[in-house]
Amino acid sequence: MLTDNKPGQVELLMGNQAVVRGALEAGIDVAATYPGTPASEIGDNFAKIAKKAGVYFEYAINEKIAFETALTASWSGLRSLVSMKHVGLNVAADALMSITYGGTDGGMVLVMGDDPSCFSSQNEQDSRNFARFAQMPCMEPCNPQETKDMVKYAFDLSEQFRLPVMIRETTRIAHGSGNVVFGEMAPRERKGHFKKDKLRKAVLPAHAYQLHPDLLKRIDELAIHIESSPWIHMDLKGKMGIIANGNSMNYAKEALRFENKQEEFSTLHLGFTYPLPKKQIEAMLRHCDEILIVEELDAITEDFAKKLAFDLGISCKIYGKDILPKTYEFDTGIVHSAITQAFRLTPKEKFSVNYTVPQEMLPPRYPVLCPGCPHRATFFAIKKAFPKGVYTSDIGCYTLGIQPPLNAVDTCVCMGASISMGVAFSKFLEDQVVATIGDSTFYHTGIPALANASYNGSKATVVVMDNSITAMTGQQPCPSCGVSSLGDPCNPIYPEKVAESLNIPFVEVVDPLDLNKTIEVMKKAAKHDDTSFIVTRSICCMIDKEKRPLVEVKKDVCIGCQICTKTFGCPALIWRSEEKKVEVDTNLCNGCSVCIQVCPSKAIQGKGS
Amino acid sequence: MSTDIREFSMILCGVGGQGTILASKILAQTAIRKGINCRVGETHGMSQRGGSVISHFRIGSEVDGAITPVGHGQLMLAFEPVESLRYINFMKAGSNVVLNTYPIIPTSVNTGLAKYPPLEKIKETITQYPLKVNGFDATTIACSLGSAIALNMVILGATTKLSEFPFEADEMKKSIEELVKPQFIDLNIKAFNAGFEMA
Ligand SMILES: Cc1ncc(C[n+]2csc(CCOP(=O)(O)OP(=O)(O)O)c2C)c(N)n1
Ligand code: SF4
Ligand code: SF4
Ligand code: SF4
Repeated sequence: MLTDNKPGQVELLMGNQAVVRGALEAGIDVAATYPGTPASEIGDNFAKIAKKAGVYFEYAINEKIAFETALTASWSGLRSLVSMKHVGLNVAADALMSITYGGTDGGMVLVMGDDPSCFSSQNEQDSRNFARFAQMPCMEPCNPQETKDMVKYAFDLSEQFRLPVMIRETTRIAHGSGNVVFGEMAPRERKGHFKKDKLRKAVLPAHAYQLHPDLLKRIDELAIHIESSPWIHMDLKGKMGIIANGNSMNYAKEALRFENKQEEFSTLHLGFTYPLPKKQIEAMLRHCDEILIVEELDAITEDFAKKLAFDLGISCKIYGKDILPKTYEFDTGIVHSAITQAFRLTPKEKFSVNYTVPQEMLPPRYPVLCPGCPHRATFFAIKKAFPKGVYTSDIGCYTLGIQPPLNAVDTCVCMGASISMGVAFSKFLEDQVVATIGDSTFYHTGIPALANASYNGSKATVVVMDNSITAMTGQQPCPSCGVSSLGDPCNPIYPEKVAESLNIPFVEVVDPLDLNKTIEVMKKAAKHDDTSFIVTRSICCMIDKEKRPLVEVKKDVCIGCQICTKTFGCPALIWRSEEKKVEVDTNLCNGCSVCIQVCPSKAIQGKGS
Repeated sequence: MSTDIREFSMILCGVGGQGTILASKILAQTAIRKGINCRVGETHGMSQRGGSVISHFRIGSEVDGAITPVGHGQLMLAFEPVESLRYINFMKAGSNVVLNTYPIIPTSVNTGLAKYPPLEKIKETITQYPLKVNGFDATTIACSLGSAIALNMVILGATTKLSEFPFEADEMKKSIEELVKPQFIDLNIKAFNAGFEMA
């Protein structure tokens, strides 16, 4: 459907699919990514259509490599798109910060998935800062239609100003769906061609020195260019004003509509948030007595507008973060209350309810490892072999090992840090240290940390929980799984081989579903006082969906000790408090059989056995 | 209902993996085919692993954002009993809740850190809000037809019977046929019909 060349056709697209469609309409040649919520579906949709559309696509090993792949496409004269979640740009920043100097050739678009409210992230960093930091344009769509059209536009803009263009989505934009009218698909007839230009493409100190003023000049020109672009919508009406970017304008529009005040407010909708349109912001400042700036997270537009008002000596009162929160995503209610507060309106419509559900009615429901997830068995074994260990961990499904009853994760900072911090802890503490890391994360940034462990010494036990997939972000392939980015078979790269080549003295591979064997290997590692490296390999059960024979609890044997529920905690094991027995929910159980090995009374058995 | 809807917002909530995403897609597909402006806001990522999930489905000429304003939801599809309570603040007083009465016990309860409230108390709490409860065991119906996975279709079927629901049964079934993998269409349509006849 994404590849249909039917201009005028209307389809339901998620923001992330709209990105792909926009790129196809721009005639994209190359797309690269490393998965990360909320941006993952961009790569996933490229993976689906790449062969048919003749686009080169890869799941790179990390964001830096994805970025450099897209940059190389651009320097080959091709059009490229690279997508990642907000924190991914921390990893790719090294490349980004220098290449705006020399600039791009073929159109290059960088799609960022920001995550206000941290739905699936370790922080709320606002990518607009990076656009400003690196000096590149930043555009923000407010719905799927705009997302598609903006991405298409961004390729031309990139070529005109020789800069990568950032499209900043937030979770709501990336994962929000809506009607999208398709445009024409561009033919793709470009061939890679590298134009040599040492000054621009080898950013040596002398070259960077020379190029920096040129970059600033391009940004100044860009700032003027965007004022007449189709992405700045100003509507001068009453003396009260609202300036908002992306999704915030949706909330503001709805809030005004609920109050029936659309005609009394002037609005400025910003599709560009770097650079900001000086001309229109000045016009708003001159026209309005008071302005509320509605932007999630950082006060970037607000700071710009306040400085502009100061420079121009305009006395318009500007509200922003004095009323609206600096944290979390907004909604219509939050923006509505800010508008009524700032402009001292008596609200007609209510966005709160006078009803609180009693706390005892709401048992918490945190995300948990799936029933039968191999990670649960690995953590159980770690807890048996290292009951008092310090557990450094990383980012992936296995981070859920932090939840009770496993409690097997003490630290989680950023991808790869489990190994580097585990290794360092093992030198600074007397405790035994176990670092847990997923296979995809191991390839992303774990390998340099393991090399460091080997080189600088360590006593830590490193456990690669190899489920042969990038599971957390939606089961994307990675080097250990034996499947290429486009789903073709290829040779898997095994973490144990990497460890051996790095001279790690203790390397073992074990199937975590064989619990006793795994505990035994872990105990052996615990006795080892150099770096030990264990791969627990068992496929993610979202991939291997084949149901194994289910298990059941023999009610007459179960003594109600709750060891299975209180130390292992598979969600398919249900504690029946009335009977003081455990029961297996057959809708949830996937028959991994690990609980059979956990129950000391042998009450759990294969169904029908 | 025709295409001149100004704003109609629905909440679909439950547990990751129960199929709220497909259900909201089917709703949206139906809206798009009818030329109605629509927005869907979903939960992806971490919470899909058995956590609490919510989807917003909004249609109408005056809808811009993908998230239902607090207190403005006009219909709730609760795929799991306590999850209805977690998102109750999105609802407008007096609206209908289609409630699957089959619970999924969270780990916090299994490990003894919390208690799962009795179904009657849950219904009572919803009624006090006040909302109208249309409760039935959709999971067991789906299982009897072959798979618990089809529970989302049972719920959609039951919802389609409600007078405030904007689409007809055959419009919904057409979307199911368009979006569900061919080998599962039969099961899903059966489940939809079972829910529709139930309500
Ligand atoms: C820099 C960065 N990029 C991407 C992500 C998103 N992300 C979270 S977990 C994960 C991958 C996990 O895969 P793996 O290590 O194999 O563990 P699994 O989920 O399979 O258990 C990714 C890519 C992130 N948090 N940080
Ligand atoms: S998706 Fe796979 S790795 Fe993640 S919790 Fe489920 S089984 Fe485990
Ligand atoms: S561990 Fe075995 S005996 Fe103890 S509650 Fe669980 S099933 Fe029953
Ligand atoms: S076999 Fe036991 S541990 Fe595995 S999924 Fe079933 S209940 Fe859970």
